[in-house]
Amino acid sequence: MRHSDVLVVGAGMAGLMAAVTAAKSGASVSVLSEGAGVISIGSGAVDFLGYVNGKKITDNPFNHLSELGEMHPYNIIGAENIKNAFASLVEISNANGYEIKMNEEGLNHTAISIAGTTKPTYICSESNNASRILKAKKILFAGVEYLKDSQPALAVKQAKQYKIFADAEINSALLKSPFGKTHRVLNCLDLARYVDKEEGFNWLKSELSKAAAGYDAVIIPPICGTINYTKHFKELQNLGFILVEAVSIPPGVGGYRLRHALINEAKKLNVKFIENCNVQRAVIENGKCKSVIALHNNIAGALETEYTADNFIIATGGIIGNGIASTPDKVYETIFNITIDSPVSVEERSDKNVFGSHLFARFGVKVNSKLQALDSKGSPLYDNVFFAGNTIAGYDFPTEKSGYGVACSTGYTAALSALASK
Amino acid sequence: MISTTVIIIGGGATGSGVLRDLSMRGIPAIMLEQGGLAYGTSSRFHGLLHSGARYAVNDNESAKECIEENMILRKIGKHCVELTEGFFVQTPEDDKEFAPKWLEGCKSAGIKTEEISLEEAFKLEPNLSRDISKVYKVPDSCIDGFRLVWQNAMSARKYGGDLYTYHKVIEIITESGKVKGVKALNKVTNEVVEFGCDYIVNASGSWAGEMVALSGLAPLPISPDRGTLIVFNHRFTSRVINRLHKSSDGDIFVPHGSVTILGTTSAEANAPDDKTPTSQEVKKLLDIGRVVFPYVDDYRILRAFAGTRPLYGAKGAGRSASRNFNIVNHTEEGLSGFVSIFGGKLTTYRLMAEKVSDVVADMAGVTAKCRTADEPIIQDVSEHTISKAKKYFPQGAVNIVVDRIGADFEEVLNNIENSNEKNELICECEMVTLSEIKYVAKDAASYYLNDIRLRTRLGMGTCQGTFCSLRAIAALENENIEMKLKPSDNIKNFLQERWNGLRPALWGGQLREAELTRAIYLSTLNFDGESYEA
Repeated sequence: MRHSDVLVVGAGMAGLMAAVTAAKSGASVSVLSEGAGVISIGSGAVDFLGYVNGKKITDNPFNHLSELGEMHPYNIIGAENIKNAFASLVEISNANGYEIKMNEEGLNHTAISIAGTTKPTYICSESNNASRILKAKKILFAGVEYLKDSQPALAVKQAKQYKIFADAEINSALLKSPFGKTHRVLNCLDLARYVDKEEGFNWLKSELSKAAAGYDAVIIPPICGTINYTKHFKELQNLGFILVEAVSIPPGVGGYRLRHALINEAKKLNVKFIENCNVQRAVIENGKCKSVIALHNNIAGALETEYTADNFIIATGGIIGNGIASTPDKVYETIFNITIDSPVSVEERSDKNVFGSHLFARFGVKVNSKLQALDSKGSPLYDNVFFAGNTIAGYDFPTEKSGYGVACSTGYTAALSALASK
Repeated sequence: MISTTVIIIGGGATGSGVLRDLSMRGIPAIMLEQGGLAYGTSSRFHGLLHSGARYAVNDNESAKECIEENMILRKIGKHCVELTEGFFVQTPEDDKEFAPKWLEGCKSAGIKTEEISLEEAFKLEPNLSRDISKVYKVPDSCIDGFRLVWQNAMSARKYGGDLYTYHKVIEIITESGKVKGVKALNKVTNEVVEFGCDYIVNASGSWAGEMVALSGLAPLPISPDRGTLIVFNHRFTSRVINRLHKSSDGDIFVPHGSVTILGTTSAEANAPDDKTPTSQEVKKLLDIGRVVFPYVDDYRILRAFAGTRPLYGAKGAGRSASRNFNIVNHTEEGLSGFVSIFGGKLTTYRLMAEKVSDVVADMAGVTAKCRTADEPIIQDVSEHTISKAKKYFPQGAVNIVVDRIGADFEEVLNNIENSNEKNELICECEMVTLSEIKYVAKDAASYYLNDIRLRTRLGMGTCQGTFCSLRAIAALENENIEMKLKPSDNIKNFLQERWNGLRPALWGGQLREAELTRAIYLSTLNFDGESYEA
């Protein structure tokens, strides 16, 4: 049996942020994780708030928090925690090889996707920041042969519809694949890993130099390396054009870089990671959580293992991460078996419009300002258990464009609550 | 105005079967369909090629037709049919008195049955409930409804027939008691198009009553009966599994490719296109299905869908109404040249087409006989071509693609060889490659990504279009193939169609999948935001 001051369940954005924040203050921290977390396949762009009720925000997103209602996680934890969490994330990531930044005027950045659509984001790498090319006159969308998830012809057609690119000439090109014609499926992460190596970097540099002649700006899929990204990107910026990496569908590479940076920091702070670990349930004694019981997926016939701690942070994710599970008859949190309010009829869980506002998107555990789960009367269920990330109710990250912003800031806040309750 | 001899209303199995039959007899014909092909019931059933055993007790005449047509379709439509065989299983809930009656019915209809030991049955189908007490083998099979309809249409085109999809008939033009043509609304362009003809075959299934009303005749007593089915993301049975009891809800499991379909419910429908399934129906199907496969709840539900059966007779007759088909020659009611065919079942579509084509040929004075029972629907591809193609397709994909597009595969292969393209796999679940998508996209009847789905099965597997719809649209842009919608609208339209089937079963693994789709299309690609602000 292993004992920790703080035990974090889940190693996505919320769990890693919580672990690092708690460990920085000297707590002994362990992280139990089943998989690599949704962050590892994401684009790496940290969205704060892009839309409120379908309306785009064009000034500082902090000005719009009040429009989200008091049950929104941002308003539960407050602006101060959000500010500190973001600043801390930037500092951690930059100190660990992945340089990211916020807009200096406090506005959203504009990122561009592999499909040529644009989106607002708040913290991202310099390469993801497409605001840098808004004045470019000649823009090239370059894909890579056989990289089927990122086709530049589609991106060009889509981008040409935007007013911001109205004055620019936009063309497409394909870089020659370093792997030739093969039946294996090629994705952005394969290429980014190849570019980590010297051979791969030389390939990218030479292909880009050839394709970019005459262009002010070149947009490519996120392939400028994983662990060596920052170094490579800086060197590629000297080629004489503005280089932008598009944000991509999974595997999005940027999320992999960000996760790597956070884990690096956690390891420096002696955070213990126990992977392939499926937490089954919690042991409650006298209204407090004593331990969690886990199965180790990678060991055949393994017995259950008990992990005790003074405080617990639950960052098991929402519906995608399976922190919140559902059957036809109920919706529940998976470790403490907390029932989540949901309509009797399955149809009412969702909207008829596929991109509409779905009730299920807001499914989650109701929490107080310490991020303790609340019972139906509004009292904390367990004093030493704190929830973070998409396990929390009341926000819809895909439509709000608040993905990772809520996770980062609630992970940070949950750690502060755990430290305070020590 | 477009002129022809026969207009066929309805692009389902019956309509496309009639188009093929008439075209083979040399009678000029055009088929009009309000949606994509197989928009109605022909794509909204369990995909079972009945042995007839299901009807052996209640409707022995239907059972006989089924077994005869089953044997014919195995030969002429082998690219649409998977010869799985079927089981009839007796569970503790089934009346033990039914088996002897059923055996007798099968015998009299000419359906071969064979009792097999439970040990053998559980070896062949290990997921079956161990509470099952009797198992019989019957010659049931599986059939792909989309493919059957399309292949009939492709064959008809080779004989000179033509088809117009997304053309809804809005007026039947008559003159002095005789049909002269129809007016149809082109739903893609919103234009009204006039077609001239001497005869009309009303093969519009659940809409048959509406079409008769358009002609000004007294309405037909056709009532649509709603059936809901669910698709699981696993092939947990290799055979069709039927309950050994009187036909009832949720008593048939049918494997298709990598999925299994469970159906069907039966309830009065509000309208012919009352095809939104409800979660209550899904839960009910699961409750019944659990008796045969106790772990049915552990399989992820991909989607639910519903269709309407055009039942002839008193409203609300449901399962007791005859499933035998009917042909009404409206000449007797004073409108000459107008024939309606309705009722029946997909298994007997060819026979139905033959009988109604006989009526039309007779009126037109054409003596050519029906040849559809002998001539394969699509031609085989040579072994030489198949072996040549293997280096361009992923393992196992060549035969799947050949089954989908038949002899046109030669053209697809030529295109790959000439362009020296890599032929990337776009839809990994259903093994759809770039060359097949390009071939289908160029068809005059392909307007939307959804049309490509109907022919290739793109987006019908595990991811339900999350990954392959973006890839397919991007690949089409790369190839400069224009579709009717701009790319982001085309993807949204596609995902919306998939969404309608996900909503009634939105829990467990499928809800996770739906949230992943939103994370990709909304969070990363912002399809709900800026793609529409442009």
